[in-house]
Amino acid sequence: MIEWFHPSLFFIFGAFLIPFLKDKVLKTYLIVITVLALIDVLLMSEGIYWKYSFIGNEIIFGNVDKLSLAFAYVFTIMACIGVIYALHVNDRGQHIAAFLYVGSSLGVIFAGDYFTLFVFWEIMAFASAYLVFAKRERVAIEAGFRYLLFHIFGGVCLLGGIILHYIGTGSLLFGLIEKDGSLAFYLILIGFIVNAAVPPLHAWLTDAYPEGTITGSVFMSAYTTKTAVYVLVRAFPGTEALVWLGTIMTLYGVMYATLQSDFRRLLAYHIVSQVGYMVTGVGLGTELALNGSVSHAFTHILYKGLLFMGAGSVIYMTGNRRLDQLGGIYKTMPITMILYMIAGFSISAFPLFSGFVSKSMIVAAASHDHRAIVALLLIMASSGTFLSTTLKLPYFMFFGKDSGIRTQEPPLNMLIGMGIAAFLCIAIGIFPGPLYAVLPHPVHFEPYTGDHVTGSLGILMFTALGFFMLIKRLEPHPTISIDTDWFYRKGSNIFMWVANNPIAAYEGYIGEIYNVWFTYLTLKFSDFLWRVFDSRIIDGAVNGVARIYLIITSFVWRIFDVRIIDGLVNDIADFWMDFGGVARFSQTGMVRNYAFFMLLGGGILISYYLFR
Amino acid sequence: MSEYIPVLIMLIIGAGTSALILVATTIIGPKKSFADKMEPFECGESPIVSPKLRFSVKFYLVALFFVIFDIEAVFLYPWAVLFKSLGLFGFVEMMIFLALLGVGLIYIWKKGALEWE
Amino acid sequence: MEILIPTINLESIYPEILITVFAILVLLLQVFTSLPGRKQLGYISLTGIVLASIIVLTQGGAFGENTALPIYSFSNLWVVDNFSRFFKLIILIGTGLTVLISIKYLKDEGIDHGEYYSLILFTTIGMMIMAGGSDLITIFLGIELMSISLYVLTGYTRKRLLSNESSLKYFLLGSFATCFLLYGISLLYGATGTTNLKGISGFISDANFGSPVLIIGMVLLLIGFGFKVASVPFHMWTPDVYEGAPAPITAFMSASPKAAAFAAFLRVFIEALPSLQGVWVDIIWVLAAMTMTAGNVIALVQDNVKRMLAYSSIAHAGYILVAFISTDKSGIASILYYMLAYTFMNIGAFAIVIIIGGKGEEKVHVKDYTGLGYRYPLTAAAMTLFLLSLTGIPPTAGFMGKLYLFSAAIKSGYVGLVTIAVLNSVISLYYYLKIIVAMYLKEPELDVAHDSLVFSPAMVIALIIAVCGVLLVGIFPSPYIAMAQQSYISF
Repeated sequence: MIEWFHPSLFFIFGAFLIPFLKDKVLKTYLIVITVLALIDVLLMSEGIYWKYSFIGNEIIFGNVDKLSLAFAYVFTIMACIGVIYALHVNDRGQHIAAFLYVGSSLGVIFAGDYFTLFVFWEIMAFASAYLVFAKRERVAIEAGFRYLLFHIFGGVCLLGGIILHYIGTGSLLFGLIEKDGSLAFYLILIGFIVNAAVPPLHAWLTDAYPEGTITGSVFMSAYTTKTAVYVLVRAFPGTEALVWLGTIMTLYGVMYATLQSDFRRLLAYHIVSQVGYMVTGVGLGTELALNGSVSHAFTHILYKGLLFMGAGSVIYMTGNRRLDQLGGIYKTMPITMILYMIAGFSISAFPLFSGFVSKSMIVAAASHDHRAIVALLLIMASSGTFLSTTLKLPYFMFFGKDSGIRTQEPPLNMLIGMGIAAFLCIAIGIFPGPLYAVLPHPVHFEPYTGDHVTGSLGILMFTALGFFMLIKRLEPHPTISIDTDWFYRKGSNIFMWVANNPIAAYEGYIGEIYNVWFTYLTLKFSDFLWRVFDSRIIDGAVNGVARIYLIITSFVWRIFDVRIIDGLVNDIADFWMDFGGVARFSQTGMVRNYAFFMLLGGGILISYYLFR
Repeated sequence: MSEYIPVLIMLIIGAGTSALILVATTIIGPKKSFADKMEPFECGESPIVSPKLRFSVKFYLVALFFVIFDIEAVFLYPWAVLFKSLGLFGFVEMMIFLALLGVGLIYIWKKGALEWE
Repeated sequence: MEILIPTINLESIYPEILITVFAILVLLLQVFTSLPGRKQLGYISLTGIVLASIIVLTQGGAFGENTALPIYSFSNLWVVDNFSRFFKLIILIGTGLTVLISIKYLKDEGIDHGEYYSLILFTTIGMMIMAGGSDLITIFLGIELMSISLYVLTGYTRKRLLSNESSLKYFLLGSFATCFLLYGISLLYGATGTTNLKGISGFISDANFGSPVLIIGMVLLLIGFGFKVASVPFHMWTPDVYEGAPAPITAFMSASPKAAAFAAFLRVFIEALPSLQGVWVDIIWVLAAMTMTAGNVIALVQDNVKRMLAYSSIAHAGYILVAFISTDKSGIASILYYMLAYTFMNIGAFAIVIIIGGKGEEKVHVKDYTGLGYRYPLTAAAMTLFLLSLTGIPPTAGFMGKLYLFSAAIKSGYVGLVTIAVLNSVISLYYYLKIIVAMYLKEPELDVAHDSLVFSPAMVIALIIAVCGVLLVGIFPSPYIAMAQQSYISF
């Protein structure tokens, strides 16, 4: 009897068979594989398995402890739900990508050394990018490219950090990192927080998730950010910076979510916000906080998956993803609506729903740690979540002004997938015991105390009150109505103002910095240099002067141009394309020019030595 | 460096002689110029023809073969001179060399490159 | 007059003799028999290559800490050590794969003559001499033998103008580079009084360190080798020649001759000029940075896949130069390992280019790859694997190779250069990915329907070998890395 079997193998090797299967066989196969993996994970016991020597270093595929197990449970459960939800999809490429994605994220979870971790980390990025590409629309492909480039950037930072860490410590083992403020420490941290979508490195998430395929986004919402949370919990607990980054994330995500009318983008911003809680928990670093982070990751995967599934069902059935064009479909999609609402209550930490039992833990950890401001801000963000996910989104999607769209419930497999997730959300909310039992540290926390419940309910109710008084104001196409109570209007105005002005300006500003300083100037400058050194010097110089003029004008123009971070990746690509285009001119096709360049190079080399 | 001084002297004498001749003829020589004389000299041929004159590729082939077998001769001479002192080793070496060239010869022969028509 | 007859150690050149015999055999068979197709000649050459590889593998015992090596012979003109053996293996693998991918191509183009295989084998001898020479003259001989055969092979599709043009360009510029090389050798000889690599290093450490003649000689050698490995600014010939040459020859040129050039480059600079290391390291630093950047950036804007791969091969030469400057054991070992990985992945990628290109190499643009993933999923999957490996994505050979290269350079303290290299890998992702995206995510345009891709058995075998190579070297790198580490030159 083998003592341990890596669950990734089910998925990664299972993926190779998918191209050869069809229809019912394929469907059965998908379910069987995921269930096998789930059973495998459930039967696992702690320990270190599959240890190999690899070019003189120890690598560990199976580092199983309570922390990795907790994540593995929810990852495999989510895999089952996701696969069921995606059963109707015929594009086998998506199934393969999803399998590789899940398998590699499990690989990350169980990796005991940096090398294994990095390898799975990269496979994860590519597999998930395919889920965006698979939509095969121009916008999606572009978003997928940006997504991938962003992750490669993160991966490169991570790899650099790993190599430096290895050279510094001589060990590749993955564990708690010494907070010595070295370059290795920061590079690894950056590599991780890119995947955790910490602003300002979050743009890939809100850019790509709304563009993914319906089922792909469900998978993506679960794994990438949560593996990042896992590695942060493992390596960076108690890093002070993370407390504030996390708190900012929660608020940032919520505020920005309120401005969205594409509801999958809205949900994507909520991932940022929710992951913020977990990151805060990691930053606090106490046992309670880490427990909170892990349990929140656990519940978050389920309810966020459910939210994306609900939203996906609506898109699938109506073909529309804009909030301002939907409305009134509760009549024809009641089950979807109910299931969605369960997730909505979970995410906003409504008592008796799963979010409550985990989120309250992080908030409690913050206040135990005497960080009143952090706790307060976290609670505030919670109210914002409730506002946009649970009230605004379903209101305008399912109720609200009747858009005249008539449709049906989604296919049965989608409903079943959602049903399982919804069941778990409620079950965890009512009986948090099993969840608490799998957490890495012993739990002495009781969620259902009087003050937790009343405090939470109070805030949520107030928010609800505000919402229904301000429905008009919050409509995706806002029309100002003055007939409401001035206090709430004022409060909401401030909220909207903050969301609209500083935050939007900040987003624009970040984009600006990247655009102008990082890319545009360097682009034009090197462009100019190239021309000077081009064989056609005079021509180049004239162009160069023109270019400089262009730089100045476009610089001035761009200052007033408001663009978002997406521009960053696009512009870097544009820059290199331009650069390459200019450089291509040196390739004239004339032998004499080539010989001249060789001679020139040789001359420079020799004179360098003779006159240095 | 002193052993190179003769080389230097040789160089100077060589350059000097040719320079002297050129200078002398320009100074002393009579100068009568007429049209035919001012044409570039090209071994008695008229130099003004189309440059796209085509030679049969066979000329080039023959020239190439000549070079190859010329080199063979270049190697054979010193070997023949030192035949005795090189002994069996030299003989075997040279035979290998000849065999390789022979392969080349057989190849071009069979390819028909030696036939003019 | 006493004539010194050099010690003959035929055993040490068995592989070279064998390849020579096969080259001549193929040449003569071509003229004496009228074989129906010339496939047989290809397989005969392949036999020779396989036999030679076996001899190389057994020559002087297994790879490892063995004391039998290095064996010097022919008055120190020739050496058999693990370093040369490893490179010879890489060269032979590259040649074998090239022969396999050529067979069908030659038939399609109507140029299946025995001379082709014979020339490839002659090139191989040249390359093996480059890897095994321990004297500037031997190395020069190898370079010339390799180059001259390659000039002819480049123009082998003689009815295509582009091929002729590239052959001529290659010849002119190659001769030009040879001049540099030869001049450098003569200056080194003038400065040190010997052409033997060990002799040169012994002389330099004794006296006249840093004399201008020596330095200029070194720089000229650098230019000559820079040309052979296609490093910026001596790379200009590469794209044109690679684009014009028949596709199998392009594959060949980007793998084996590059490996051989690096073998000679490494040996000359590390064995003969180690005391000048302080001088050449910063130049190679600059060359590496320029080579990577120019290669990758210009590749971004290419539509022609063949040309794109040409630029990518320039970039890869840059990556290898990164490890060059670290000059210690792990630096050299990483170059060996990378060359091995690179041979598999690059020839593999070119094999697919040949399959897609079809008759007359007409479909070599990115758009010709659209929708390939649907009609030929396995071919597309193989191409994806090669491209990912070229980018350096785990778990492929390219990733391990790059990791090894870069960590060797970091260990020697070249963090700045490695940063440039890593950024370059990110850039390269873009153009490799462009092909992958075209294959999987775009609907094929009507006029580029792949109505009939034809797979010959030889091609399929080559692809399988390349795929297995990429995966095996990437997933289980330990034996190869151990082999590479045993192969560093013991100075």
